[in-house]
Amino acid sequence: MSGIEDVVRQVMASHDQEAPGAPDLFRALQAAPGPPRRRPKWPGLLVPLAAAAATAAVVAASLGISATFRGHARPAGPGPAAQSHPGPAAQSHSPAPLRRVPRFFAALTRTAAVQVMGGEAAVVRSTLTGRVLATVAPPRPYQIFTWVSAAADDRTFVLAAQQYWPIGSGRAGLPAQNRDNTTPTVFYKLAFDPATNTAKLARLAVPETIPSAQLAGMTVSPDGTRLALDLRRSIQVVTLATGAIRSWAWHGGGWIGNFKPIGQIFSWTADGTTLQFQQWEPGGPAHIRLLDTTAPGTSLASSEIVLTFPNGGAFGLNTLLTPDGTKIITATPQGITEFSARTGNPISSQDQFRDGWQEVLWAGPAGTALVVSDPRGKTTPDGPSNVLGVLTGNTFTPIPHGADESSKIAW
Amino acid sequence: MDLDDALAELVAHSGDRLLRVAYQLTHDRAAAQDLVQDALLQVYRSMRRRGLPPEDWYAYLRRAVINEYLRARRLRSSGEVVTDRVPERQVAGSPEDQIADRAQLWVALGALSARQRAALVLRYYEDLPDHQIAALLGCREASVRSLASRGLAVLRQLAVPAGIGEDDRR
Repeated sequence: MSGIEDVVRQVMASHDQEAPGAPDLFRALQAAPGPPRRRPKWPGLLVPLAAAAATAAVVAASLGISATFRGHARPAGPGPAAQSHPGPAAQSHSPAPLRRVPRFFAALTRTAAVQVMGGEAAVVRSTLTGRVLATVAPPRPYQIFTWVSAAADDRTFVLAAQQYWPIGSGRAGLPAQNRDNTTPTVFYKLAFDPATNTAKLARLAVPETIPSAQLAGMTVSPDGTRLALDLRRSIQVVTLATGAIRSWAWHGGGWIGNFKPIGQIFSWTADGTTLQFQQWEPGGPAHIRLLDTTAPGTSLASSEIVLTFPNGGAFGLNTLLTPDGTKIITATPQGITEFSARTGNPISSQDQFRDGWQEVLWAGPAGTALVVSDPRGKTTPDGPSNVLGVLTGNTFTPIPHGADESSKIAW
Repeated sequence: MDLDDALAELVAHSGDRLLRVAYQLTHDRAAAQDLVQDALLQVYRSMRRRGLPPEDWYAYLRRAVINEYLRARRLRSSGEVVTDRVPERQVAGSPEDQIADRAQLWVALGALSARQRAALVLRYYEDLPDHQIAALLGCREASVRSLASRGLAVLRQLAVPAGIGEDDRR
């Protein structure tokens, strides 16, 4: 056996390939303010980056952000959509658009000054008034909710919980023993009763033990009966009534899921058959794929690529398939952009901002009503803050008290 | 070359390598990305004030990454418990055990103090001589040797039962 120094060299070298690739770095850089800006790495807890706006712009420009649709390379950006509305959408305060969105939404909240993905509690809020209607905490010994997803009935949500804080970055002041991300994730159904403004948690039967660090996101089906889990190298769909699990593995390079996801990592068609997900290649493009969960097979390679972005900076962290299955919607440098799920071509773009980042958080049946996060809030040293609102016909209606403070939110 | 072009070139040519170093320091993909991102932004701000750095871009950035890593660990140090006690191990010998040994060694590297870990990464991953490590860490060469020696001693504690590092002790 060689000396300890040689072994240390070998061990370090053996972990070399685990390091994140440059595309991840580029995407992280774009998290800083500047066009096209992305959501901060850990919302609400970033160090002030006064000079970051120019940085992000430079990096974005230097990368030659571009997108390829159905294999047709474009030199920069997704190109003009058939219907293009450059500039921010007009703002309205009429409550009517808010009624086109599920009445209630759930968000994870936190109180500790640590950089975490998740929250110590889940709140149910009214879309119409923004008021917090109910608050639930994870049953002990679980301390943290890490993911939240919503069924289509506007009052059923699924939460993932774990025992320890999922520390994502190096500035947290927590004891080392709280950094254990290997404890299992558990899942709860949150049923909100609007008559009494109460929320009840019920443990869901997910038979497989999933270490908390392994779960990279989840999205419940619209009818609330199935839960899709992102395990980075595979997708599992759990039938909640029976605990039956169906798995699709990814045997290529890269991973499944988006980068530090907010909102929902997947989206389902309304009938619960087709699942939209992102597949990232190491050092290469990101594909938006559709998986027919009713078709036979166990490989994600059989899923259909509907969009390819050579660089991840060309689209938002969230990509949503509309419930009718006709469109993919995401934020691009051109604003909130719709693509045809059949052809991959851009259909329309609206609500474009020069500064700040945007995300799409929910899409109505055909994408005519969207919940988005826009940089329309107060200007801070880090740039404009974001607010939640409903986008309909290039009109933005803010959700009352809708400061965008949670990266885990679901309608 | 203007500032923007310089930054673009910097990211294009040094991003991967910096991330690998950052990952060796943090053992966490997300933390490595954050570390490099923060370092890049600091460098950018510095460049805006002072102009372009010296010709060795990579060394300049690596210094920023190391500084940011040590700074972040200092901020965290009040709450984090760093231990030199490594998990108990069984006597080993099989190939499976050797793989496990290396996994344990990786974990043990993560338990070292920030400066010990930085010293070992710079010495055994970046292959830097001690005088350059000393310059990066802002200490004397003797201190680098001490940091590395103590770090290796902790690792050896773990490794010896399985045979790793036995040569060192003869």
